[in-house]
Amino acid sequence: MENNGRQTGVVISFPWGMPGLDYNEYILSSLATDSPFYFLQSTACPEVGLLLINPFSVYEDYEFDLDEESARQLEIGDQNHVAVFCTVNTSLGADSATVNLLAPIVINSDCLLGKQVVLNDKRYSLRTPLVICRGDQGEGR
Amino acid sequence: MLVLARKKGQSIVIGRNVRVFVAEVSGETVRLGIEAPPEMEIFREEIYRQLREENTGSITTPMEARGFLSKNTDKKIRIIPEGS
Repeated sequence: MENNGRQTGVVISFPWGMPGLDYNEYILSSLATDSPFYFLQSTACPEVGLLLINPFSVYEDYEFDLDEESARQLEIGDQNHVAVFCTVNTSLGADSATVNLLAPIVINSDCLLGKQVVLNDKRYSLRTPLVICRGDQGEGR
Repeated sequence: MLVLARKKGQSIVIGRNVRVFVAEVSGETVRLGIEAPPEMEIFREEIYRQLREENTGSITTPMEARGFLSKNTDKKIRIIPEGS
C-alpha cells in the first residue's frame, strides 16, 4: 500500500484519533485507477469520510521531517513503509477545493497505523488551493 | 482556573505524568518544555482549533467524493505553492 500502489480497502487504525473526528478506525481505498485521490471511510459510520490526495502527485516539492515522537508512535523505522496523504476540503465546491498540507496523514503501511501529524513548517497551510486545469490546459489521463 | 507564577527553569507538574517547565522567557514569548506520556497529544491551542475546524469541514460522504472525482477525472491537478 505504497502511495502509488493499487491495493484498496485497507483498514487503518488511528489510535490518537483526528481532531474533530469521532472515530479511530477507517478504511482507506483508492477512488479510481491512476487517480491521486483516495477515500478514508469510518468503519463505524460509513457516511463519514475524508477525501484524500497523494500530495506528492500534485506537488512534487512537498517534503517534511516526521518528528521523532510521531515516528516512534507509528513504529516507523524504514521509510519505505510510510504512506502520506492530505485531506481535501471540497465544502466550498469542486472549483474551490483546498488541501491540508500542514497536517498530513502519515500511515505505517506495515502495521496499518495512522496519525494526523501537525507540521511546524511555515511553508504549508491548512488550506492550500488545489488547482484544477480546465479544457486545453489539462493533460487528460 | 489556577494561575501560577514561575521563573525560568522552574516547573509545574500536572497529575503523575505531566511536567511543564519554563525553558526560556524573552519579552512576551515564553518557551515551554513539556514532558508527557506518548498517548497524550500536545498541540498549540490555536492550531488545534483550526485543524479541528478544517477536519470537520472536510468530512464528506463516499457519494460526494465520487461526485467530485467524476468532475475531475480528465483534468490536470496540481498545487501551486504560495508566493509563486
